[in-house]
Amino acid sequence: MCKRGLVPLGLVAVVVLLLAGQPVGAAGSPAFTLKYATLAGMTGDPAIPGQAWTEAGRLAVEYIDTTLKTMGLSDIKVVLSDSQDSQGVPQAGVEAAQKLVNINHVDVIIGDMWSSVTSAVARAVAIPNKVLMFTGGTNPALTKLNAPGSPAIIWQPVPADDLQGRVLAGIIADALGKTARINVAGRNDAYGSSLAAVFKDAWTAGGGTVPKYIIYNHQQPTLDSEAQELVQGNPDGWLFIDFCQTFTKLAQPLMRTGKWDPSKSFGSDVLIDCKRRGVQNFPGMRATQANTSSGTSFPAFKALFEQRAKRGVTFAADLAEPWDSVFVAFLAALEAKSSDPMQISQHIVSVTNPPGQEYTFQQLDQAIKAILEGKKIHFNGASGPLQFTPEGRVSSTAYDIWQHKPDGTSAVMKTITFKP
Amino acid sequence: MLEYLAQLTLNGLITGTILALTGVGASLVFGIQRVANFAHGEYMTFGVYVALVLNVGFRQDLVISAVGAMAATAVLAVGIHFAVLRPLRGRGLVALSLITVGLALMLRHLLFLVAGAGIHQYRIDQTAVFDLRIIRVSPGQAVAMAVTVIVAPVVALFLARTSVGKAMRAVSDNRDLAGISGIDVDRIGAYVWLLAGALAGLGGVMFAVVQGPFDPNLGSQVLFLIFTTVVLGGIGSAYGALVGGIVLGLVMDLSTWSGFAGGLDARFRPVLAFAVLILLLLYRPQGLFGKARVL
Repeated sequence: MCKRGLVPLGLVAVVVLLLAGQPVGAAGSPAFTLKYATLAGMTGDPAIPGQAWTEAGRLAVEYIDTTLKTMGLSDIKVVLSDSQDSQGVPQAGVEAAQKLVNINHVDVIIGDMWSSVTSAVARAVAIPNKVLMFTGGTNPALTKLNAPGSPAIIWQPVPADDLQGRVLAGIIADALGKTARINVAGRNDAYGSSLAAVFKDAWTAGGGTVPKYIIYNHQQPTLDSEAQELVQGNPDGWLFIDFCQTFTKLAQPLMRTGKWDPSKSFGSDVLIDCKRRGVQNFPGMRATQANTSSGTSFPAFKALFEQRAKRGVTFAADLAEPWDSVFVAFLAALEAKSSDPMQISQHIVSVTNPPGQEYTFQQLDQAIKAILEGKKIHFNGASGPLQFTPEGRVSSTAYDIWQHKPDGTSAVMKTITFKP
Repeated sequence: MLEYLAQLTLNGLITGTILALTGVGASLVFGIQRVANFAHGEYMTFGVYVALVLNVGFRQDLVISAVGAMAATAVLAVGIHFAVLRPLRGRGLVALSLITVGLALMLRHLLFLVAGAGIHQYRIDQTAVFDLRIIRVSPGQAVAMAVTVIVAPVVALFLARTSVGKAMRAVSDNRDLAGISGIDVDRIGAYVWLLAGALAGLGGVMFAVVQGPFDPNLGSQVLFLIFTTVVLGGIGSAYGALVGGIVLGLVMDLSTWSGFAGGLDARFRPVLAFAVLILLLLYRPQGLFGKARVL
């Protein structure tokens, strides 16, 4: 070959090599496959919400996939590789997560819903393997597992319990007076013991007292003795931190004591509506939950879920958390032009905070187009403005106060904004 | 204070009688067949769900539902004995016990598949109480205690006074000698499973009546407390299961009384149960009513 022919050939080779190093698809768009997995308790105590959580994640991935195909962006793919059942148990959650990481090689895990499972999975699987997790757990210790100065691996799309505990203290103070005597009962796990401790600190700091502070094993055959202890001393009110199924095991003996008043009782976020979880509500009882329905796109999300979710899966407002998480991870990956979890992590704050044009999932195609054009976007979830911090936490602080009604249903009485 | 103590004592008796009733069947199997049946909790749960179908699905009262649960669980236990455990008996008793672990997992997940993961309750009012001034007890709790107090001695009398019961005890003492002396060891084994299954079904139903809401994890959650009851009372002894259960129940519930140096933190109740077991076994390895054996 003559030397003159070698130069253009060499130039072509250099260009090819450069392009090979950068995944670039048709028309200059990035090319990657983002692999998701969902992890939630689909059997046992968390079965009903867990199955709904999984379904919300699946629908979100399906929505993004459909949008990408409609836009003709065949080089960008999203895949739900698997959905695993943690059974609400840390050990089972770790085994499930190991399968997702080692066999399915996922980039993002949407789950677990529970703090105890998330904590175990984060330490044993996600952090060592640098796989992102978007958890429904509210224990503030979860995001503290993220190494300072490094891209966060654990993301918490719901306000943590260090806020919820203080919100509960404020709500109870408004209702019963800030020096009221409140007996506290919490389930013996990462969620119950942590939130109970946060509340107790906030409550006693405000001048209140906690005459009885009971952390109980929810798997005990009976909770009659715990119920008996909780009504001793005629407290001004009660706070319960548990899941509906096991709370009912405590509530029934409480009612049998004849000394328990649900209208002076308050519950944590998962007690907002026990009837929806398959058990009963206790008329008069109040509970609080971080507002996850203030997003402008929430009604559309609800309608879509009710239309497309599998039969038998019940909609709940907090399903906006896994839903939003899928979109956040995708948009961050798109901005990073990569499915590498650590690169995605570095763009989550960017896509969920101002400045930038605001988009919801309903304008996903426009958000994708904007990112591909190199523009900054601000994604608002169905749950509301997420505004993730680099530590992995959200900074939105609206809380709904729910009350169980005389007809056995439950409804939001009021939404408050909590200023930390 | 006295009222609180009286109520705690009653709570302890309720917990204890439930452990006793659920433990009698396990004790029989452990004592006679020498198998630690880790699927006993799932047999109970199976009985609970059969009763649920009868009580809620077919609107039968709880007595009929409990009888149905006993019959169904007895058939299940015998069926598993013939299909799985008897053919594998030659593998050794440790292997058989381990096989029951697998059976337990299989049964539990079958129940999840068939019955779903949702919470259920029987058609009874869990908030009704008999107010006896210093104590309050629900009708379900009262019935469960009465059933236990009747069933445990009846089982003990059955073992002591009937020909089948005596044959069971002979097999328990020395299987080979019992076989040589004309006892049909295989048939006795089937009878043991039949009885244990029926007791598991009854125990499960009473447990669900006392506890209220339940799901397919019901039996597995209390399995180790049941084994603790069995060992504490003496393996193979119905009276032992009764007394062992009551002792455990009283210890766990009374430990939370503030009169005992402020009372034990509620979350340590199961720890206390095992601590009591260990202490007793140190001084009486055969349990309260068990027979000392040389292995």
